[in-house]
Parts: sequence; structure tokens; C-alpha cells
Amino acid sequence: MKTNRKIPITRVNKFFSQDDFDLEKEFGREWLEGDINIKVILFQVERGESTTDDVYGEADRDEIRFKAPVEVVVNFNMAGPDNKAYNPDGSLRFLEHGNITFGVYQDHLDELKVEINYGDYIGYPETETKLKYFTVSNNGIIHSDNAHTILGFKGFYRTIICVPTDPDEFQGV
Amino acid sequence: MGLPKNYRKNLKITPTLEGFEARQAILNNIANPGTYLPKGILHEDMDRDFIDYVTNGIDLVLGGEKVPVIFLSIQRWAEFAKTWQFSDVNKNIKIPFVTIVRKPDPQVGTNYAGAFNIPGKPTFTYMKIPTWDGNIKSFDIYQIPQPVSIDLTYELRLFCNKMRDLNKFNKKLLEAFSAGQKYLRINGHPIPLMLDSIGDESVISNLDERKYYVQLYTIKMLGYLLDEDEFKVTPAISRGILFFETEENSNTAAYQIVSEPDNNIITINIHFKPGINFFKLPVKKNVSYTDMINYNISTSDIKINGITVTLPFTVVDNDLVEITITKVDVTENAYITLKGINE
Repeated sequence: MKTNRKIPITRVNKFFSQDDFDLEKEFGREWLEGDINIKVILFQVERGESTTDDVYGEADRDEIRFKAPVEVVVNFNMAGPDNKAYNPDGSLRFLEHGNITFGVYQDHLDELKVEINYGDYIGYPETETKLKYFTVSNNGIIHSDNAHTILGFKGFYRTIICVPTDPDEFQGV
Repeated sequence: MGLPKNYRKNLKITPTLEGFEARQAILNNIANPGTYLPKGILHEDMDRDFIDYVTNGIDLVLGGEKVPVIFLSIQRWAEFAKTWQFSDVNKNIKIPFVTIVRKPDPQVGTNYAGAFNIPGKPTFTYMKIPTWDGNIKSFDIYQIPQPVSIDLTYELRLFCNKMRDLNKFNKKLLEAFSAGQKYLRINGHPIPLMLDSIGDESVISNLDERKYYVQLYTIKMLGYLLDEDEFKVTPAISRGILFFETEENSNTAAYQIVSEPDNNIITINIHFKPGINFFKLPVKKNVSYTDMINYNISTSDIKINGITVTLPFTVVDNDLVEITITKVDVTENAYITLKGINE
């Protein structure tokens, strides 16, 4: 539950302070955004604007409305593609993209005034002309675990997991 | 203004066949025009028409586009050849689509309800066709073997992303099989399809995986095999011709021996019927023949033990007398009377 009343964080304050925390984040963001600079495109679905049917709440591929796409700098990791088959007998093979798992600074999202939600779409430009779409299966909004903090001080980045989506579901721009 | 009661809006202006005519129409449909024989039906015929039924008969349209139907076998290149036109930039087929997989193990057919059948695969008369070769009017008998029943199982899967699409396909299938079975006319043969089961193989349980619906329809075709190579056309018996071969010497003439003991005279009356020109007699008594009277005979040849003799001649016990004649009129009887004295 979020509250207006501020509670000072004094964890590990003998060695680590808010200033240290901010400095560490700055180092990290400088490396990620300045040196690495891998961007994905976030399509935030307008849930109230998208046309859906009354019963199932499903939308056709051209009925999904989204806010203006935003480029987000991320710590990018894409799994290897899976050689699969649609039928149990091994017929109708397809090569599926691996999932994208990326880390993103919460500060970066806050500065862009965007939020990544379950079901939002992520575009990853594989080449200059080839944009592959993924959908968010885990928005990583809980990031207070040890791995997402510095010395357990505060969470500062989120890990987002995205799975490939069909052109029949979402065709982007 | 409303229509009056009992007003028929749909009138059938083309007559529909009923009863015997309807059954005959089914048979005519099975027959191959111009050959008087039924069309053959094999595995590939049934597969072809099943694919055609799913593609054009069910005719699923989703999102304004006809959903591709793909029949799959194990050859990779063939699979790609069938799917490339529906694929995306990564050469993966795009959802939605329908796949047909025929189980590679067709089973012994059940449309005879498991009853035993005639062994040996005999052929049966299907039709008799009159023939005329310019001289003889006859029939050709067209025979076919009893069809071999076979059950083919097809797995029909719809891959899609929306529940609405599932509903449309499900509605079409259930409507098609609302009577319990659906008949296909495969090469004119009425072959029933049975909807065995409806299953779900949707990939929706794993959160971190692409989700899509897979609805499985298992359809069984109660077909039969009829191979045209096993058809037989044989000419029927048109005319029985009996040949009789006769040999004149094979039958000897009838004869009568008249003995007059008082004066020791023996007379042999020989009767040559039409077609018989030969006489043979084993001798039991010693006789000297001195006289011979002929009727309807132009020439005669008398042999004793194979040696030609002339009158008068004498025969003894165990001799063999043979007489060969030539008739004046072969259609009439001929007679010889031999007279001799018993010695």
C-alpha cells in the first residue's frame, strides 16, 4: 500500500546512504544509456480505448489502441529461438523467437512517465526494416527482492519478461 | 399486407427423385460414365475429397480472410511448400490456420459392423452389357470385387488466438455433423464421416510462453477401397456350337445270319444304313460263299484277314471278313446278301 507519509530508509546506513545509492544508479545508467544504449519500443495498450467484444473482451489485431510508442533503454537479453512444431506428431514446424528478458531502471520509466503493464507490447527492431513484437508476460513491478536492490537498500530496476506475439494478435505500427 | 395463410414461398420447380428412382440415381452416380463400371476409390481419393471438404465445404473465414487448410505429411519441404504463402517474415505460418493430419495407420473398416466376409475376394457381376459384333448378339459381363472396408482417422486442428474464432469453427463442425454423420461423395460413392471427438490442445498454461488456442476434431471416415485394376470384363456365352465327328469305319453294318440246316445253305443279310459303309464279321464256321446280291452299291471290296478276295471264296473258323462298300446314293440304305454252303 502506498502512503503519503514518508518513512526514512535507514537500512545499512553505516556503510550506504541515499547519496551512495543515487551515485551507484547514476553509474549504472551512464553505462546502460550512454555506452550500451539498447532500446526497445514500448506500446502501452489503452485498455479503455481498445475495442473489445462484450463477452470475451478480446480485440482484433487492428482494434488494439495504444499510447504513443516510447523508446525505453534496457539491459537486453533475448533467449535463443526454439525449434517447435504446432502438431503433436511433429508436423508444421516453426522457429519461435526466444523470450526477451530485460532490465530497466525504474527512474528511467518515471522520467518517461510510462508504466509497463502485463499485456503491453514491446517492439524490438531486429533490423532497420524488421520489427518483432513481444507481449509482456511479467512486468516485474515487484522489485524489492535482494537481486533488484543494492545491498538491500532499495529496489531500483525491474526485470521484464516478454514472450513473442502473433501478427494476428498485434500488428503495431 | 400480410401473406394469406398456407401461402408457400418456396416451390420446388425441379422434380426430386424418390424411391427406386432415387436409389438408381445413386447407382448411376457411382458408375463411371462411358465404362458401365463404378469409379474406383482408393486412399488418395478419400484424402483428396476430405481436404476439399474442409477447405471448401467448411470454408472457415476469420477476420475477413479465408483460413488456410494445410494437409501435412512428414516431408519437410512439402510442408514448407504448402505453408510459405501464409508465412510471416520469419517463414513461420501465421495464425489462424487449420491443419489436417491423417493418422498413418488406417484400420480395418467398421462399416460392415465387424461381420465376417466371403474369403478369397471373388468378383461379382455388376452389369451385363449387350454386344453385337456384326454376326452374333451377345453380352459382356462386368464384374467387380466386393469393396474392402477401411477406417481413416483425420485429426483436424484449428490454431487461433481468439475464443470467437473457436466458436465459429466449432459451430460449423457441429452443424455439419448435426445428423450424426456427414456424407461425402467420393468418386460418386457415398462415404460417411463420423465426428469421433473434440479435444483441446491449447497452449495457455505456461505464463512465459506464447499462448494460442488449439482445438482438435477427430473425424473418422468409414470408407472402402475399390481398385479398378481388379475389375473384370468377360464375354458371356453367346452360342453353343456342338461338333460331331463321325468315322465311317467305326461302326459296322448290321447283319443277320440265316442258316438252312437241311441243305447246308448259309445266308448273311447285311444292312448298310446311311453313313455306314463298312462291315466286319469274325467267322465261326467254315463256309464257301458263292453268290452275292447288292442293292444301292456301286463298288465293294471284300477282305479276309486283310487280303482282298473275290467270289467265290472260302472262310474258316477264326477268319475275319471285312467288306467296304461305296454307295450309289449315300443318303439311302444299301444291302448285301451273301450266300454260301456250310462245309
